[in-house]
Amino acid sequence: MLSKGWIKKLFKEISTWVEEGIIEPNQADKIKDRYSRQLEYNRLVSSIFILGSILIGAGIILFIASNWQHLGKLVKIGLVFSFVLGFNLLGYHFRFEKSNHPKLGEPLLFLGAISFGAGIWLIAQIFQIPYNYANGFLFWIIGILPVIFLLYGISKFPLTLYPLPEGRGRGEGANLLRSKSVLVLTSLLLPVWLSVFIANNLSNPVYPFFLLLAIIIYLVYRERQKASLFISIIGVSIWLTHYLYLQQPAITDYFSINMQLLYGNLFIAYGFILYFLGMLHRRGKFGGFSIIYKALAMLFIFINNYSLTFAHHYAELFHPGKAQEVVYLPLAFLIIYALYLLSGIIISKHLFKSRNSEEKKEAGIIFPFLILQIILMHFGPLGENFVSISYNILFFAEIIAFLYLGYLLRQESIFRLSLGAFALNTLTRYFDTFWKIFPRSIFFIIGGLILIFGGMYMEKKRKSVEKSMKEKLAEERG
Amino acid sequence: MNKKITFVSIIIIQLIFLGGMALFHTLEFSRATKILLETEPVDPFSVFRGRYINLNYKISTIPATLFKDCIPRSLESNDYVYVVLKKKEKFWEPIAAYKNRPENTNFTFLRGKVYYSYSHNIRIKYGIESFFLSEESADEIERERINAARQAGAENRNPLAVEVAVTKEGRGYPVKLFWRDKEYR
Repeated sequence: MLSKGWIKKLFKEISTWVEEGIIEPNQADKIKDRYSRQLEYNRLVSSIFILGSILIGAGIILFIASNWQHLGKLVKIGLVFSFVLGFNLLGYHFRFEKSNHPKLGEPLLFLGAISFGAGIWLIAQIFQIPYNYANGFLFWIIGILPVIFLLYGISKFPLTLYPLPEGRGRGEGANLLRSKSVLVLTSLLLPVWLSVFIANNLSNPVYPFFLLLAIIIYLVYRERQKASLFISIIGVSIWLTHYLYLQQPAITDYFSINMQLLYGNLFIAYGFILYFLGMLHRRGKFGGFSIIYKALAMLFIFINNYSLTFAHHYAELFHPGKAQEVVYLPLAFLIIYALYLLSGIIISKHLFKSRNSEEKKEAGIIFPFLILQIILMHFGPLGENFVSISYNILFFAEIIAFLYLGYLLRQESIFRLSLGAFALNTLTRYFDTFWKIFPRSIFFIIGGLILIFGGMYMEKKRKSVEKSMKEKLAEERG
Repeated sequence: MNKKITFVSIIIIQLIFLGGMALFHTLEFSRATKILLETEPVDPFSVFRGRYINLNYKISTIPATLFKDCIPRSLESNDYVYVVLKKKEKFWEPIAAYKNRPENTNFTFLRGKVYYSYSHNIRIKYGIESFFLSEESADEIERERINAARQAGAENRNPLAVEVAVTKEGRGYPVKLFWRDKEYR
C-alpha cells in the first residue's frame, strides 16, 4: 500500500518531468489519475479500519459497563490485561514489522489504548470508586502518552513497496508515522478530565491542565494532527470559562450586563488570539493548522458578539424596569486585557513587519476591530440598550469585514462562515427588532425580497470566489 | 529492536499500573473493618461503568454538635473530617466527629469531605456514595422497590443497607448492597 506522502512527492516529481520534457502532459495526467485513485482507496481503507476499531472499542467499554456478573472479577481483569497486551503487540507488529499491513497497526494500537482505559474503569467498578472519578481519566491520559511519544512522528520506517527517491529519506517525502486515533483519543480525554475534575472541585483553578495541554500540543505539532488541535482549542475555552467563574463573587447575577460583557469579551479576546495564530501558521509545514485556528476564531468571535447583540433582551427578561448594578472584577478584566494584549502583539508583527501585502491587508482589516472590541467592552455603565446597539453595529461590520477577507484571501471557509453569520444575524434582527417597527405584511414582503436578492447576490459572489479559488489552485499546480 | 523493547516496557508498565491499582485496593480492602449503613437510593448510569445506585446515607448528614475538636461553623466545603461510628442494633451510627484524625486506635471512623455546612447540620461526602450493580440486579431492585412502594406506600419502603469496608485511614469501600436482607451485586 502506498503512503499519502509518497504519492504527493510523486505528483511533484511528475510535474518536473513534464517541465523537463521527459514525459508528455497527457501521460502525466494518466499517471496522476492512477495514483489519485490509490490515494482515495487508502483513505477509504483507513476510514473503515478506524470505524471498526471505534466500534470494537465501544464494545469493550460497554462490556465493562454492563457489569456482567457471570464472569468473576479475576476473569474480567485477566481479559482486560490480555486485551491491553494483545492489541498493543499486534498493533506494533503490523505497524512496524509486517510492512505490508501498516494500516492495520493504527486501529490495533488505538484498541490497546482503549483497553488500558477499560482496565482503569473495571477496577474502579470492582472497588466501587465513586462515579465522579476524575483521576480515572488522568491515569488514562498519562498511561497512553508514552505510546504516542515512542511510536509516532520521529519514526521513519519504510512503509512503501517502492524505495524513496535517493537522498530524500529523511525529508518531506519520508514516511513519518502520524498518530491519528491514539492522539485524538488523548486530546479528547483531556477536556473530559478537566470537566469532571471541575465538577468535583469547583474552587480549584486546575493549573496542571496546562502541563498536560503543553505535552499534547507538542505532540499535535509533531504529528500535525488537526482534529486534536481543534479539540485542544475547545478544551482551553472550558478552562477559561472556569477561571472567569472563579473570579466572580459568590452570588453573581449571570445576566447582568457586566457579566455578559465579561464572558463575551473573554471568548472574543480568545478568538482574536486564535485568528492571529492562524495568520502565523499560514505558510510552512503547519499550513494546514491555519484554517483550524481561523475558523474556530471566527466561531468564538461571532457567537459571542452575536450573544451581546441581545443585551437588552436579557435585561427585559431578567430585570424588568430595574437599573443594572455594575460590578467590576479587576482580575477578570486583567485576564481579558492580557488576552487582547497578546493578540495585539501577534498582529503588530504582521501589520508592521510582514512583507506580504495580502497579509498586511488582512492584519490591517482585523486590527481596528480588535481596538473597537476593547473599547466596547467598557460600555456596561451606559446601559443595556447602548451596549446592544453598539454590538449590533460592530457585529454587522465584522461580518462584512470577514466576508471581504474570505474574498481577498480566497479562503472558502472564512467566506462561508461569514455568510452563515450574516444570514443568522439578518434573520434574528428581522424577527426581534424590525418585526415590531413596521407593519408586518409589508415587512415580510420587503424582508423576503431583501433576503432573496441578497441571497442571489451572495450566491453569485460565492461562485466567483470558488471559481477564482479553483483558478488559483490550478495556477499553483501549474 | 530497542524501540520494541521500550514499547513492550511501556505496555508492561501500563499493566503493572493496572495490577498495582487492583492490588492496592485489594490490600486496603482486606484489612478493612466491615460496617453496615442505612441509605436511600437514586438510580443513574455511568458511560464507562454502567448502572449504579447513588446513595444518600443516613450518616451523610450529621448534627454539628457531634464535633469534638473544632467549632462546626469554622468548617468549610472540602475540609476533611473524621466521623466516628459505632454499631447500634443493626446499623452503625455516628457518635462523634473530628477535624483532625482521631488518635484512639479503637475507633472505627470514616473520612469524608464537608459538602455543605449548615448551622445545625453538616453534610458530608465519604466517597462511598455510589454502588455499581450489574444490569440484571439494577433492573431487579428497581422493579422490586416500585412494586413494594405500590403495595405499601412510598414511606413504607424498607431502606437499603450497604456493607462498607472501612480502612484504618477511614477510607470506605462499599462491599455489599442489601434490600430486605437480599444481597444485590
